[in-house]
Amino acid sequence: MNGSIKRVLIFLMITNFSPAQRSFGQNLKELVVFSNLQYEKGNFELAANEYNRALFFGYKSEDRVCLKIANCYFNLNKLELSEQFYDRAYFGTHSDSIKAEAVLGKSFSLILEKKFIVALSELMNLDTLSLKSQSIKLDFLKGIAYFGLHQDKLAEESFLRCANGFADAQGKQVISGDFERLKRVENRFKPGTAWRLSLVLPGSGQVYSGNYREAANSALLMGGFAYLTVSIALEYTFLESLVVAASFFQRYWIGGANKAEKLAFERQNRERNSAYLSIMKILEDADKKNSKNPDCDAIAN
Amino acid sequence: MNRVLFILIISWLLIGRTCSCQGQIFKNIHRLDSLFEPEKKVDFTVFTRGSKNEIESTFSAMFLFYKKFISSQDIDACVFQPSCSVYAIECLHHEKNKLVAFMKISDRLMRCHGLASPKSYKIDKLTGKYSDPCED
Repeated sequence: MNGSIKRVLIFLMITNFSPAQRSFGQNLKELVVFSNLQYEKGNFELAANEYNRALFFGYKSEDRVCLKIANCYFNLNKLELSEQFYDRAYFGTHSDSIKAEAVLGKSFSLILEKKFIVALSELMNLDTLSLKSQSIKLDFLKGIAYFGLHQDKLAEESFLRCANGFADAQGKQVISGDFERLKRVENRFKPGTAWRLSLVLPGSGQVYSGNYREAANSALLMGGFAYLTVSIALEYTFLESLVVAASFFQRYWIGGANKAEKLAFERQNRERNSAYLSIMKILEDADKKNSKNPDCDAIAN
Repeated sequence: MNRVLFILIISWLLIGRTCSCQGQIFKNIHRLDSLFEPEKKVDFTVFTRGSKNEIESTFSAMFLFYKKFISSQDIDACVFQPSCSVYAIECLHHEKNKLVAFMKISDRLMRCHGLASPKSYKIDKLTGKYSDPCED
């Protein structure tokens, strides 16, 4: 073997069998590891793209990758896309844990879109869950969906089961108290009653709803239109008063009643929001307390 | 070296995954905070800020009075989004020629009735009314 062939052979050995060369090639596993890193760092856009690439090139754990992509889109607030990938993860897996995680994730997205009834129908698919954390999540989401559908009794039961999962006895008491207060307010400020009262006496529905400024406004406006209607009828004819002022009188009469109804609804909604925020705070605190002493039975995503 | 780093990363990720007991839902609980937030009332003063002359200031004051004390007691009769009064104040602010603004406002008031053709307008997704902004 002469010197030039030797040199070529050495060169080929260096370029083909060197470990350094192998380390530059990226296989699917490394791609997923890289995506996981980006996911952990919170670079969801990049992570979703890379997971999608891995999926495209046929990465074998399709269900897990789909779940990750769904979570990325969820964090990027692309809720419809996230729902599609949660579905794909659900139908592409045999693991109960991943199925449950996909349903829970999809329901959460639906709840954020305020599609409570669809979320609830998804959650109804999950009967018994082996992981404690998933059962808590299930009750938590069911509670919110029921709350959004004004099914307060069922919402209370779900939130109480959730607090029970955290073994938070004090939290359970506060949740019951919140629902009790909400019930009292909803019985006190009934939109239908406010509407009927305002029809009988303009402004009284607003007083019933606790808004005195609106009551004075409505009463003054109606008084003005009543005066105009009567004065035109006396000055000219009844028909002319009907044409000129009575139509306005009727319009603002109904408008005032609608306003009273709206004010009662607003009062209820304020109380509903305050009760909801209180419940969220309790469950969040219980969750934080719980995570300090982890039982580590959870997580599929 | 690369292999060691690779193994370290894998084990770090695995440990992180098995010991993390906070799932997706409770990590993102703050996103649910505004779910039942009552609708924020529209601040109509945004339409009247920065009036450049007496005409604009007068119309702005009239607009605010109307919105606060008259329109608030009225039935929801306007078929357009934004409503005719908001359209009028926007026109007065945006149109340099006030005559054109008045013509546009008159045109809008004449178009606002229950027989307005759905073919001529886009539907505003939030309100379900016909979308007809001043600047088009």
